[in-house]
Amino acid sequence: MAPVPLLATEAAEAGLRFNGDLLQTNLINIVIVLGLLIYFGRGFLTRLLTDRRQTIETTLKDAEQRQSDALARLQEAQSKLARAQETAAQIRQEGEQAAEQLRASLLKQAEADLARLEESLAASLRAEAGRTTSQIQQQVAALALAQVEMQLRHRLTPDLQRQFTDRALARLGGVG
Amino acid sequence: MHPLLLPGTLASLEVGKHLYWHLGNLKIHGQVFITSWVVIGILLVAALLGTRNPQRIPKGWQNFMEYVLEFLRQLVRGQLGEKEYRAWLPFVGTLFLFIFACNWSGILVPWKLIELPEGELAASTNDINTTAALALLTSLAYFYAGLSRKGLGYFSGYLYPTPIMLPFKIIEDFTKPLSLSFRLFGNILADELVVGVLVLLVPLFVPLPLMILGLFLSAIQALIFATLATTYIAEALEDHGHEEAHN
Repeated sequence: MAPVPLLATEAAEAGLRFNGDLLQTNLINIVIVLGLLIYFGRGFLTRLLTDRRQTIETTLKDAEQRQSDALARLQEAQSKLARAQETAAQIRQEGEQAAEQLRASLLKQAEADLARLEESLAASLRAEAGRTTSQIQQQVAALALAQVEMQLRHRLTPDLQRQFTDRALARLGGVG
Repeated sequence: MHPLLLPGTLASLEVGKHLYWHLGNLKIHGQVFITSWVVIGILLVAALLGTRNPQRIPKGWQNFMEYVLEFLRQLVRGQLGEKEYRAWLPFVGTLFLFIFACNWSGILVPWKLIELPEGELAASTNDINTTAALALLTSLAYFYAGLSRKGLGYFSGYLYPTPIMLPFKIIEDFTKPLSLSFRLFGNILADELVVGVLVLLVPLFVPLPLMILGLFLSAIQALIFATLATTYIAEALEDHGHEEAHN
């Protein structure tokens, strides 16, 4: 084996050499150990890594499945929401219409009520005024009669009464 | 130049021999750098391959790298909690991956095919300098965590739960990096030495069980290092003061 100088060192015979002695370099044992390691380690490692890979795969698939499920649910919910909003808008519109109608009818009714009330008020006022007038008339008439009666009682002497009666009789006789 | 541990045997074993490079006044251990660079390169390539063409459903290498990341995330999240772990995941994750790759490269990469002029290529974590550097980085990290969270009030945590703990807590700041670095270094070096010695004595088949044991051990060492680093950071982030105030 010729020395192959690769690296300068302080050693006199600088360089690296290849040592081909199988026994001295422990090469056979190393190869056997490597072989054993690969033989036993391979199966173990392969199983381990396949398991890991499968776990990751299933986890990912699960996650994707869940994601697509969630997306579908989201879409469904969104369409439901849209429908609900539509219905809400419709209900709102209907409500507004009904409210408008109700308002108009209430206004009309209120106006009618008002007119009716005014009318009845005027009628009752008129009735009251009439009643009061007749009452006053009656009272005035009663008072006048009472006064007349009193005057009559004061002034009507039997002579005067006779005079009146005679005069009335005379008038009756004149007609007759 | 190769000290023969057992004269007349096939191979030699080198401990304490290094390929020195000079960087200014510094002498650096070249073989550690070479293997570290290779490991860093492997990690970078692995990361790039994993993220080059990311798929929604990961397969192949991306799947594997994601699994690794998930493992690390669990490790860090378990101790730092949901709120803190993200900031510290890169640090701890890098620690774990680097140590793990270094340890395994020491067993699985036939470094000895390449013969250096001096020293030999091996897992870079079997050099105390590497592990000490990693341990000191961990110390820096947890000091940074504590100081950035509580300012200088972090040191009042040393009096918790009783002031008697103060000297122990101070000693702990030194023993933490020490134990981290020596544990990793010792385990990896010991394993490599045992395998090396066995390879010297009986080159075929006998080192196999120890190499397989080494695979387990070095994986566990990487896990221990990362877990302890996370624990230290979690300890530094803990709110002693507030607990006292509330109680």
